[in-house]
Amino acid sequence: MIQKKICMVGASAVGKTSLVSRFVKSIYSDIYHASIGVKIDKKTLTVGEQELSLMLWDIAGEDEFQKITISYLKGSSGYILVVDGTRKETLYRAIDLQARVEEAIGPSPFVVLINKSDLEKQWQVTPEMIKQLAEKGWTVLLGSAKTGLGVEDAFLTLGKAML
Amino acid sequence: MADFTREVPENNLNHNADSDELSALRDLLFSPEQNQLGELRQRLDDPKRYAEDVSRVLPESILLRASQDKQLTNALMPTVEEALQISVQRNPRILTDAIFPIIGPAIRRAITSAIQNLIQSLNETLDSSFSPRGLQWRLEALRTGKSFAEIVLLRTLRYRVEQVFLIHRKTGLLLQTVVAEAITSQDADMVSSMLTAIQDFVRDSFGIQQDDTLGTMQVGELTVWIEQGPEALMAGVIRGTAPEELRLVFQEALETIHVERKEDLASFQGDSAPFDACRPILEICLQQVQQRTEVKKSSPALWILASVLVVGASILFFFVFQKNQENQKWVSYLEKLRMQPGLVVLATTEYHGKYNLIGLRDPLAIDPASLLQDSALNPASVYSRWELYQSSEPAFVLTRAKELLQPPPTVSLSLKDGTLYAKGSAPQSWVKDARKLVRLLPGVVHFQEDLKGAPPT
Repeated sequence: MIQKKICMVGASAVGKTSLVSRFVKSIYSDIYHASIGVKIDKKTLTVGEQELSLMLWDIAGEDEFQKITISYLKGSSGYILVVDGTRKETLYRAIDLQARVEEAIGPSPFVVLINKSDLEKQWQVTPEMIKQLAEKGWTVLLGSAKTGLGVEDAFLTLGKAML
Repeated sequence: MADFTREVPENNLNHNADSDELSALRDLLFSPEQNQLGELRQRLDDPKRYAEDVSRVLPESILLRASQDKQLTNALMPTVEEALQISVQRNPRILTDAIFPIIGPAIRRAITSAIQNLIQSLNETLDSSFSPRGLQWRLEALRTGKSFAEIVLLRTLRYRVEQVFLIHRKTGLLLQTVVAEAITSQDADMVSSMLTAIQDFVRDSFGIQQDDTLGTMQVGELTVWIEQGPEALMAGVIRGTAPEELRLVFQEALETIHVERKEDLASFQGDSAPFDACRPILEICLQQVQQRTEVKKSSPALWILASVLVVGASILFFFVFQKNQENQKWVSYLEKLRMQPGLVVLATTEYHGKYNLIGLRDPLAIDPASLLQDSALNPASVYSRWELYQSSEPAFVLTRAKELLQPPPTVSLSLKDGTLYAKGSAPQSWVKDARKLVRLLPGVVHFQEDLKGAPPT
């Protein structure tokens, strides 16, 4: 069994806690609670033949009033950059966050998970934007904490990248 | 050309002369230093001399380093352990002989200590079970739903280290954890990460230096002590108030782990398996100290022991007394039997409160069972075997003579010194029969009649 620390990073209300809740407990709630500080969960995955114990650090989201605490990312083996597909500014913030995180902890595996695919009609993030991210060599996945679509896949993809 | 060729040797000569002068000057100036350097080099290059030099300072060096810290001990430990292992494998007798003189005292000490602990534990259990304080704790256990043992432990504990975590400093991942007995531990991985997050939060919120850390956290009855090392940190969850000396134990354990697992810590990539070997070191930190009662009380175990002894002695005394009483009754019964005519006691035995008797009994003698009843002995405890015989007791001989001869009322029979006397008047026929029959009577040697003739019947 290998342990890895991974972090959930993104703007406020993009669905980081809901994604962790869906991944760890298979639960989704419509009620929004803003996270304060950091919340930690644990989930065991099997990647190939390797058992992986993921310590998930769900870091409070960033907005114009609150910067994320970069020190929480120290020692993490990878991270998930969460974007809200219905708010394109969360994508810009994710790009900014990625640069700051990389500066703080060095190059580490990460995936971009564009959440709320269940609300695709309201999306502001366009396929063109996604294409631009992919061209940078980023792994971009679409998912929904509400339906569970793509959630496990995102963690598995990151797990493989970390091993 | 010729000039040229002639000039060259001249130059050479000058040059050689300069070199010689320089060499002479150098020798003059640096000869002592050069000699010293040469000697030093020789000492360093020659393994034998180098070993001699090191051997001169080795004991002092070891003493000096050992007084500074435990790094030398830790470094030597694997070699010493391996040497001992190889020595035992090759010839166990050497070590056996070496430790033989200390084995006996060590075993005696261990046994004494174990007995003392047992008595102490018994005292505490009895004390906590039967004292008013014990009853109070029982009520508390009922009220809180906790077990009585748990309440006793909580109320008598000065401190106890319940769980120790070894945490990788950079990632906050759990390397190893140990838990005290009978403690329900939380998910150690989560606790480990949360402790790291709290550290990060404190550091970030109060803008303290990266190397400064949170040393203590207090939550209700629990205190968390955190010791920081270069690659790992150690957190101990303590119930009660632990002395500051315990921090030294934590620090030493963490230092040892850093020395022994230096490479594993530096190259940690999430696999905590190599740190299983750290469990014994962490277990040293799982200490607990019970509260000592100030007033020295008499030991409940001693009281109970004394009571048991008194009761035992009373029971023993009762049995001995009863046994003595029974013996006296038995002796008295035998005395009575011996005084009875027609009863002869041949042999008696006594075994586990049962009495056996073998004897001879004349059918005319008194029934021994009636004497047994009078003796107040338990008839079930007496086994008697009486063989029949004819006693030569004069009274019995006379009785038997009367039964055999059936004398008429006018005849009186008496016996003296083996002679049966018949007086009175009797028919001639009876006298004739009596003279014949009397010979059959044991105990009668002669028959003498003083009879007057009586009318025939």
